[in-house]
Amino acid sequence: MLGSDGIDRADDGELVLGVRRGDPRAVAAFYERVRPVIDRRLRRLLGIHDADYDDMVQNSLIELIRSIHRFRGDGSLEGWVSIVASRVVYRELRDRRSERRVFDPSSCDDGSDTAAADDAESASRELLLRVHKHLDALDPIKAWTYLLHDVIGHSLTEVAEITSSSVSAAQSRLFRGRRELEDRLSSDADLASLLRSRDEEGA
Amino acid sequence: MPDDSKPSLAARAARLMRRAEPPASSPAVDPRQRAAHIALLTATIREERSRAARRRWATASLAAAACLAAALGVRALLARPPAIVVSGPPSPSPYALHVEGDVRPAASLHVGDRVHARDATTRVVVATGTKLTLDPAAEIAVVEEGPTQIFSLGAGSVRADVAKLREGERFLVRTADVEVEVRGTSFRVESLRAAPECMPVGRTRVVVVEGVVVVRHAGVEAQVRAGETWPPPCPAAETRSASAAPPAQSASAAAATASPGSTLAVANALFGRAEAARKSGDGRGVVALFDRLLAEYPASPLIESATVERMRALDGIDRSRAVAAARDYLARFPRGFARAEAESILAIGP
Repeated sequence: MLGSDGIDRADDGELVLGVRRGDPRAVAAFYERVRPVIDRRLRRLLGIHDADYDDMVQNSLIELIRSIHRFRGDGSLEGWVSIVASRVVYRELRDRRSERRVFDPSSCDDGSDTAAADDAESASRELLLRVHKHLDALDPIKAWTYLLHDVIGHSLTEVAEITSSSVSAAQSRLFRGRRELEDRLSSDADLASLLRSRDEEGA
Repeated sequence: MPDDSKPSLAARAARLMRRAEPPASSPAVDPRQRAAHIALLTATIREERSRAARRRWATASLAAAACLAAALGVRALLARPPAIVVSGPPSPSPYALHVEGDVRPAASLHVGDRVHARDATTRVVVATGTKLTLDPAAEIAVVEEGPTQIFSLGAGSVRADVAKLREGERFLVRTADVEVEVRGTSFRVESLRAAPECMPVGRTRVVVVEGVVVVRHAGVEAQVRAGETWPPPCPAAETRSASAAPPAQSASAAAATASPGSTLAVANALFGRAEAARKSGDGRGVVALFDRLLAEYPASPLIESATVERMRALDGIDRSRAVAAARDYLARFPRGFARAEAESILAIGP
């Protein structure tokens, strides 16, 4: 069992071993360590206003325990938790039939009063909504692959794991998703121009 | 001509979305929610440990029984010296079950667990080497584990590749109306949405790839051999398939009519060779063998399975031909067992 003073400083591997043994202090420390990572990933993919946000937190926690034997410690705990949380959200949104099938980038705001937001923020949100409209028109699996790889930053191997596919299939979907999105954005001249100017301003 | 030195619009859009990252700090967690989540983690850990303990239970029980028998001097009952059984560490159950692929619930399976396949990667694997490959949307439940393994197919199709069974071992798959029992073979069971025209009472189809299976239905037992299906193909369907054979194959079609047993054996041998090629990773060999089977034995009961296996093989080596194969499959078998898989190949495109 880990000492009480060392539990918070235990490295990822020690902490996971403690959780697997059922050590209550390790479980509490594990929760403190993984919860912010789950929150970051869920807020990014789901938005904090999603009705299922709390359920997704719980599902992610359950999934972490069920797959904890797969954590070998050769990568970071944070990276592994991110993959598990992404997989939970991906499955949830994929199974939704009548609602959005890919995440809504405009849902990433922190819930602050929109009236107080300045013009630039409003313009950014408007731009994101327009991009999202095009993204939502893509085949969901290609849109997801693009989002997970190009926006969230998962590697192709991780995207393949999240979407339960082969790396070559993920690569092919990424290539096609980018190309289809490019075609759609190019055909919207006003949006294309706004994207270019906004990107160069922020570069 | 596009300017390759400038970032693409898709890349600019990705950058814009990345910049919209929510604040790094997490909202304060309600202490009651924190306590509830930690309790959830603890309960899940307990549940997982209990599952693992159940897996070990059978082995431990055997060891305890052996120990008791040794203490009572009933050594003659044991085939091996008791010391080996008692002192050795518990080994995993020889009949342990686990599931692979994108599935719920957990990876290891026990009596009462159900598996719902979401894609074509879902397999239930028995430690003996037996594998059950579920087609998308198939649902299977574990009815009995151990020397007698019984599964119940609730929906969809499953292919069972059964390792050679030893004395006292049994392997069965049940559907709503049929029980299939095998002894070391490879077969497919499909839970049909509608009964075949010529057998309106049944809603299950069994296709045997290797070996022999026994199908029990309505109190009647039938042996089904490699290359055969149960129930037998409807006569009208056979006539239609035979008449649809290309002229160049008419000799084969005639041979099929004259000697169905030998034709089935040859078709089955081709199927077996294609399966062996698949196992050895020879994708092009698989496609060539199935091409031959489809061309030479268009009336074979293996035709749908061969069409599907060919499509799967092409999916890994030639996307545009895989799309054509998927389209062909859907046209020929619009309600076929691999419809979802074919639609998925079409959706991804070449």
